[in-house]
Amino acid sequence: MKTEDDARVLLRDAASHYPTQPPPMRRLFDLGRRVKRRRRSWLAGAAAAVVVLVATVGGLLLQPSGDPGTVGPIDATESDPSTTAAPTDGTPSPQVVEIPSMYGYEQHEATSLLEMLGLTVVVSNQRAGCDQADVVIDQDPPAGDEAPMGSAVVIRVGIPAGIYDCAPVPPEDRRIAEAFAAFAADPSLSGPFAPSVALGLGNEFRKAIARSDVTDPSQWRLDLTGYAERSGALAVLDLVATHTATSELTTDVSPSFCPSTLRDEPPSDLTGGGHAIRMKTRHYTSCAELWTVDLYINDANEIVGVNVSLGAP
Amino acid sequence: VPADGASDPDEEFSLFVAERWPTLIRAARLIGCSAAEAEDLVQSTLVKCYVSWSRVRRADDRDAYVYRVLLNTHRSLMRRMSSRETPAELTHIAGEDSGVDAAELTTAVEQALARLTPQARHVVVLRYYVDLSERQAAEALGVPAGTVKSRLARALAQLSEDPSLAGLPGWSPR
Repeated sequence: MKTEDDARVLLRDAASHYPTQPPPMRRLFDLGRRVKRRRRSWLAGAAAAVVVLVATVGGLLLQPSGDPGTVGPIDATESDPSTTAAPTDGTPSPQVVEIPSMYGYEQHEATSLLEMLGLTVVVSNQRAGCDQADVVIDQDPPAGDEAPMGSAVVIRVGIPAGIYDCAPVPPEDRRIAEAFAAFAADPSLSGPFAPSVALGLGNEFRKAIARSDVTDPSQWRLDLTGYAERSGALAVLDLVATHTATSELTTDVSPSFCPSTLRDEPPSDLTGGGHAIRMKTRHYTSCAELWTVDLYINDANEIVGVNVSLGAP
Repeated sequence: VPADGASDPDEEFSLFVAERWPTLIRAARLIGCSAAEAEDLVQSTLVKCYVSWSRVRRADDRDAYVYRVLLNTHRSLMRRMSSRETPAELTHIAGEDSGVDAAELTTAVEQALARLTPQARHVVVLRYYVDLSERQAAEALGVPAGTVKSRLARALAQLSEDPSLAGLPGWSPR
């Protein structure tokens, strides 16, 4: 028979391998405020209905009843769920703070949050792409570490490299990027692919996928044996399936054009020029490690290259 | 704790979320959510808490309150999804970074937890991962503390015999 402590160790160990992203604070506030507005709107509507009914009936006092409609009661607030004053065993002690992930936060948000936690913030800058300008792209100590209150946390904030095309992705290219993402989520769908697709990670690990194999998910894997300390395969489709949005466009990419805006050379079959769309992925395993996926699209709007990049831009 | 000392509700909520987010997400994963479901569940939970933050603030125990919202929201989510196809699980993409052992461990634990009843799974996660006290877990689950104890005892006995966990270091039979 195992002990409770055995179970604690087991669950914590297992759970530590689940990656977590930073909390979407702006989305939480936006959604919360929207719900609040809808509640107020319903209340105002109900009050107006009462006035109308009172006027119609000629003085009868009526009250609104029933379900509020779009916003139901909060599950746990139908009754006050807690009366205990017991301390929360798992919360950080006042003297030690668990460092949250600041990746993706704007500098002022990260600074504010870390300072609220009692930490000292040190900001350094690093050249980055459009979608990472003014946001945290790295931090030290990493998320999940514990640090004494008052200790310093370094956040690296992206600054525009100045040579990106920060224009919105054109609708047609966005359509292709979104179709590619849909294909990644369900490879049984056909995608808008060229006769062959080149797949790569950095300049070292590349492979070509024949058209006949394009809908075979097993082909969308790169063997990373020998790549730094990594081993095994990278499932590119799984990575793409976690994307949130197309985020960055570089135009006029051609094989002879090897801009510093791109980490890697475009594929050689990108003849006649084309575009590179950098897809921002939601999946990353730590603040110091992020994945991006570049789609290279030729003038015929065919995907001729997929490049996976690892690491800070 | 700064979260309790902050006076501005939005600031207080931000701090609460920043502190609890990783644990909430991982707790959601352990009770059976995929990565995407866990994020949706925790987001829905926190939006509900934000809307009723004044009640959360008044609660004697915020964590018990929030986990009660999370479990209620999870039940609603499961009811809504029961007639739909379960989306493909994207687990262990990150496991490649942690090595095969990490993927094996999380898979074994997920399988063992999946064999528990939902009630047992919830109490195991709240007590052994989130580290709520028995009283807090009882508040979060809406059951008496005695029920928490008995569910835990049965769950621990079942986990002790679970074949998925048998080969794990530190969990081999004694």
